[in-house]
Amino acid sequence: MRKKWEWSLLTIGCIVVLTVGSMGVAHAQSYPNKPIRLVVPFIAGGAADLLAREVGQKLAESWGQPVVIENKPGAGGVIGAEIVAKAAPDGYTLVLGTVVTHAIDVSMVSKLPYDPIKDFSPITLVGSIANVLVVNPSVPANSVKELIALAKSKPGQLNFASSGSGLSQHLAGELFKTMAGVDIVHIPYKGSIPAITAVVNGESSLILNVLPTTIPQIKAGKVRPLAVTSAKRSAILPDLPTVSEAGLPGFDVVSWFGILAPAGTPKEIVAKLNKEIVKILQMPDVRDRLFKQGAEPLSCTPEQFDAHIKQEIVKWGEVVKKSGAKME
Amino acid sequence: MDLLHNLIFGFGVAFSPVNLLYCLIGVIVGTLIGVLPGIGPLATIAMLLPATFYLSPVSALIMLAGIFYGAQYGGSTTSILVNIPGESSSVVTCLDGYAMARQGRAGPALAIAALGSFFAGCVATVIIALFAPPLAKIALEFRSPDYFSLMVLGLVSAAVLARGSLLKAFAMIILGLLLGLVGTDVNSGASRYTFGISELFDGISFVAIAMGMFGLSEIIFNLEAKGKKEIFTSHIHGLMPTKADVKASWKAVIRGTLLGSALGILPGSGSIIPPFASYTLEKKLAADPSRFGQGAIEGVAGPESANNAGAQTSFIPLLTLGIPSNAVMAMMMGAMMIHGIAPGPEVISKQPDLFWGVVASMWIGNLMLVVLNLPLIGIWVRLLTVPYRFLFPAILIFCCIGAYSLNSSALDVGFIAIFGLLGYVFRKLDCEPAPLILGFILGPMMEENLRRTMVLSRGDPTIFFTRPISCGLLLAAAFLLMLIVFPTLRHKREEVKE
Amino acid sequence: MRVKIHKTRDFYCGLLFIFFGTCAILGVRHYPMGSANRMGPGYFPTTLGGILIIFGLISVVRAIWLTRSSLEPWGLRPLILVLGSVVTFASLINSLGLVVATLTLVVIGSLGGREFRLKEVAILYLLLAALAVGVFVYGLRLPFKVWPI
Repeated sequence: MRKKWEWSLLTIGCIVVLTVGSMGVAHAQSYPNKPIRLVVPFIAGGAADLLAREVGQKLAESWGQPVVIENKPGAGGVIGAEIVAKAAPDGYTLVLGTVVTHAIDVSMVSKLPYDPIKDFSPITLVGSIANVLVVNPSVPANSVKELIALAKSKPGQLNFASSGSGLSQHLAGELFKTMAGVDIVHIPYKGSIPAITAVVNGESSLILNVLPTTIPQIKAGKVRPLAVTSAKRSAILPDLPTVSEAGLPGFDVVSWFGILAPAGTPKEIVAKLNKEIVKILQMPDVRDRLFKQGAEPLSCTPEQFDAHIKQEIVKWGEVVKKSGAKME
Repeated sequence: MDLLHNLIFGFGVAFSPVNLLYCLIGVIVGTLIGVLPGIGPLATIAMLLPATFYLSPVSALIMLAGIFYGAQYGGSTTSILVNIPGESSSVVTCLDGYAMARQGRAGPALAIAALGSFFAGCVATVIIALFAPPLAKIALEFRSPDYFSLMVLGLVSAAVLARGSLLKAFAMIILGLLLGLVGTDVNSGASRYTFGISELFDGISFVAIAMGMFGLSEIIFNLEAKGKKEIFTSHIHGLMPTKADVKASWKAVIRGTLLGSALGILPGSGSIIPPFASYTLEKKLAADPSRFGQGAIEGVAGPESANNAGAQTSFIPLLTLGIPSNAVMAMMMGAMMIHGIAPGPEVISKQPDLFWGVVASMWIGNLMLVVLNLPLIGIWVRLLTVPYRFLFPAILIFCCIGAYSLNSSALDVGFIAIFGLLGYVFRKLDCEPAPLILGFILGPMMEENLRRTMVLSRGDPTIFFTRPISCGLLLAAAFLLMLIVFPTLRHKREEVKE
Repeated sequence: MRVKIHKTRDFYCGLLFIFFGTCAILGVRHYPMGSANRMGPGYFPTTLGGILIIFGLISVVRAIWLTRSSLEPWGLRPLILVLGSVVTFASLINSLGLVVATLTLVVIGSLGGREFRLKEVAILYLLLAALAVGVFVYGLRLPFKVWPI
């Protein structure tokens, strides 16, 4: 009798071990076999959201499983990122992380409820949106150098608008301030649209605004573009110099977006996601639509993304320290 | 005449079978979204955006626009039937619309809302066609000091909304302002009153407060009422407005339309301020203001017209300047850009089929909405005859799911309960929720603009009076304040004498 | 003249306002007030809180001097049950899903009503649950957890 018991237990034990063990493998093989959640830490309709929906829809089409976009806006993206940091690492919950959630917040937010490196498995970058330095047409400056000279001659009198404290436009402005050595006053608005509107109607003199909401105003001639903030020229506005070329060498501010999974997600799933998303980002119709919105598609390997995040954290940490920008 | 040419051209575009179809889809979806508490046009448009990639830009915009103003129609339905505002622009409709429903007059209320909205929609379409560019320029003139003064005027008029003690109304406004401040401060990044709960960083959700203070507290009140009387009287006084109703309302509709068209253009204030302003205006102009809050049909006709006119004119800054007035417009802008159209002053000239097609489709959409909604009134009214013990759990379900669905947040549902309790307590103490809600909506904008103005003017408060728009608005607010306070003081003095 | 504090609505109302005003001021006491030039995050809330306290005091004082109507009795049963049903829904929706949360909502909520007949409530629940799942999960494709597992 005892022998029978032992054999049964052993058999059951083996089956359990095999099943659990194979779940890791079977998962990757049969992944995905249920809907995937892509958490977007921003409101529906914003640049980040549209980017995510683009990728999500194509992913759903090629894998036959729905990709559900969950908007969890708030606190500059912290809420959405936190949710995914704490989610189960089974590849069914992903987040659209950005430069704000994964590089800036760690230096700006005093008690960040997640660690951008340790709590996440990066999958790939998906796109970047440059900021463009524009001024109100009445401002007598036609280039970055002239703007800096103007600001130096009128300390404390020029205003720069931003889409909110602690977001990339604010810090871009602060970086400009410290690198150029000028005294310009930060005026925060609630979002990039009121901010650019303020520059259009003259309430603020300049702004380093994200490209999508600025393009219409540039095309209409309501604001004068001086330079793009990325290190390389923008493919969307190829005639504009970069701030780096135009007077502040080394200036590089870009809002990048990428997809991440919680830490501990199996490598096979990460690889599968990476492969598919990179493929999507090479599709001509996707690239075309992203360009039209002012975003440049990017892609890379998970390791490259990981390195990129680490670099960005260091860089933005410096900016925050040097400029003394803080959330009071 | 050029205008006629353009409009005819636009109708030609809008009347194509494809565009008519998408217009219909848009308004139907919009109405459904408006009726369902919680989900709003923004999330819906975001979900449907990918579906529009394969459409022509005109069709896409026609459909999305239809969703937006269709939601305004739907939102008033729940306000009238169950005292739950579907959108922030429908809060005011609850005041008299629901009272009318309690009296068996839900039909006329819904009908007047639909007809008033249709009239407003027609007029707004013409206004857009005629005056879009100059109106947009005026809108751009508004700076931070002007917005602040507009908010002050709005808040003073909020006191007019209340029927009881003025002191309590002002206190409720202030409490609403404070509730609106919960969250991250725009100017400094500091988080106020959030107790570390990350979901509060962007403030308390409007839906939770509105459902709690209006809907839930209403349900509790109804349940505790003793007696066998049904909540909604089963004696239906007919589905359509009577001649007397129309006579009472037509001026309110006109005034509401003009007010809504004017205020709707201002970026940022969008469709929230027009209905409040209209209600205040009607109450002040009425021969017998005490009827308001108890089923005065002008209190439905005016605000409903105002909010539909405001919804349509809020397209103007986007279509003419490339500046979206609110989050929904921002999505439309994204949609336009995806289709390769750069929104801005050139849209009218370079893409006339887009501009005039969308403008014409707004009129068509309004017509469709009236045709769709009027027959539905019969169904809605019959719904109200269901015994309350079946009705209120249904209301509870749709509220809870609706609130949860916004951000998949159970906390939002919990807030409904908290505000339900608060609303109940305040009603027991004779304090009304409407001024609080207005304070809640306007408070953050008011503070943001005040602080920004002070920074811009380097601490000089006279800027509020040196700017003509701001000065005018503040004077209007002071005037309104006097109108409110002095009659009350006189009344009090007489009361004390007795 | 004896000063009698009428336990009236105005009195409690005033107390409530004073309470909220105080909470408002205390809630931002750590934040800088700043100057009028550059107002800090504490400026506006503290001012508002102060005004609210003043309004509350006026209300309390008025309650002492003027006669107003007394408090209406509170219907505790519907209050607790309806609020409780919403709170239960909130706590269960994430863990046990839509179907179970709806059940508790309908049952507890109905208990708060004037009459409770089990058969009616059961039918009502089935109808509402079906409607809710149909509209929100299948119709709108919202990401809800429907079943407990």
